[in-house]
Amino acid sequence: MKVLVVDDSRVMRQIVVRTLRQAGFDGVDVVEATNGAEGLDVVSSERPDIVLSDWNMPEMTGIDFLKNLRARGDDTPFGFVTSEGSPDMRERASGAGALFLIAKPFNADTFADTLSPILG
Amino acid sequence: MSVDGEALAELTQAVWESFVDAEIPLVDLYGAPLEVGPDGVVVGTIAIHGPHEGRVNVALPAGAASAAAARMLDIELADVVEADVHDATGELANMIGGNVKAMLEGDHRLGLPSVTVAPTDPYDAVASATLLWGRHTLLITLDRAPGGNS
Repeated sequence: MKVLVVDDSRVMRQIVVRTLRQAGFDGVDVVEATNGAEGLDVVSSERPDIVLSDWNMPEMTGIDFLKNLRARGDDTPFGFVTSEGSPDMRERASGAGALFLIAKPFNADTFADTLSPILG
Repeated sequence: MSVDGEALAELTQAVWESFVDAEIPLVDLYGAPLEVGPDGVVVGTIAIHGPHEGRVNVALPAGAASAAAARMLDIELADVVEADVHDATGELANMIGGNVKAMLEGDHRLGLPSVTVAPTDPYDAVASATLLWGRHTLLITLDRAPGGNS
């Protein structure tokens, strides 16, 4: 299994990867991107099994990243890991095709519960 | 819903416990001033736009900012570089700001975090929390832009 982690913060990408390991997904391959535009390229080149993306990023936001993916017919499973978890944003995420939105701060249990159905 | 100092303290505690230090809980100093060390202060700021025009600021002594970055990256303190400190402090502001935004009434959006190595020009503080982390103090503020609504 391959996971694409998209966040403009290196610190947060590292925390997400570490939390994946702590949640028991130590066997997954991880690829990274720093914004939505770069994420689009990495999805094409790496074909990840799931995308974990921040929302608020320069160049291209997470929601525009997701909309661009779906507009080109790509249905790679997609979830947000973001500091903003309001009902409105959850609705926007779901409406655009996201499977889930994990709000920061999170812990390994949250990752395990949310990602187990997808990563096994 | 309004945001007060107690709410800022609770949000910061949750972020801190998850990503910085699960061992040492933050202690609320109830409005005590920020104690700035000899190396100055690092401030992470994120703008909030909407019915409340303002910013969330996370200010901490430079030594504390480096220590927090080391913990967030899980590296030795000696290996922390300036870019790590800026990234970590900005991300702290982003996370606390995102949670503050969720508590504000109305439709708001966040800017992107920025980091300075000196206190930002003070706006009108709407709420603040001074917290003790080990021997370091942290100051978290929600302010309002001049002429902005709250």
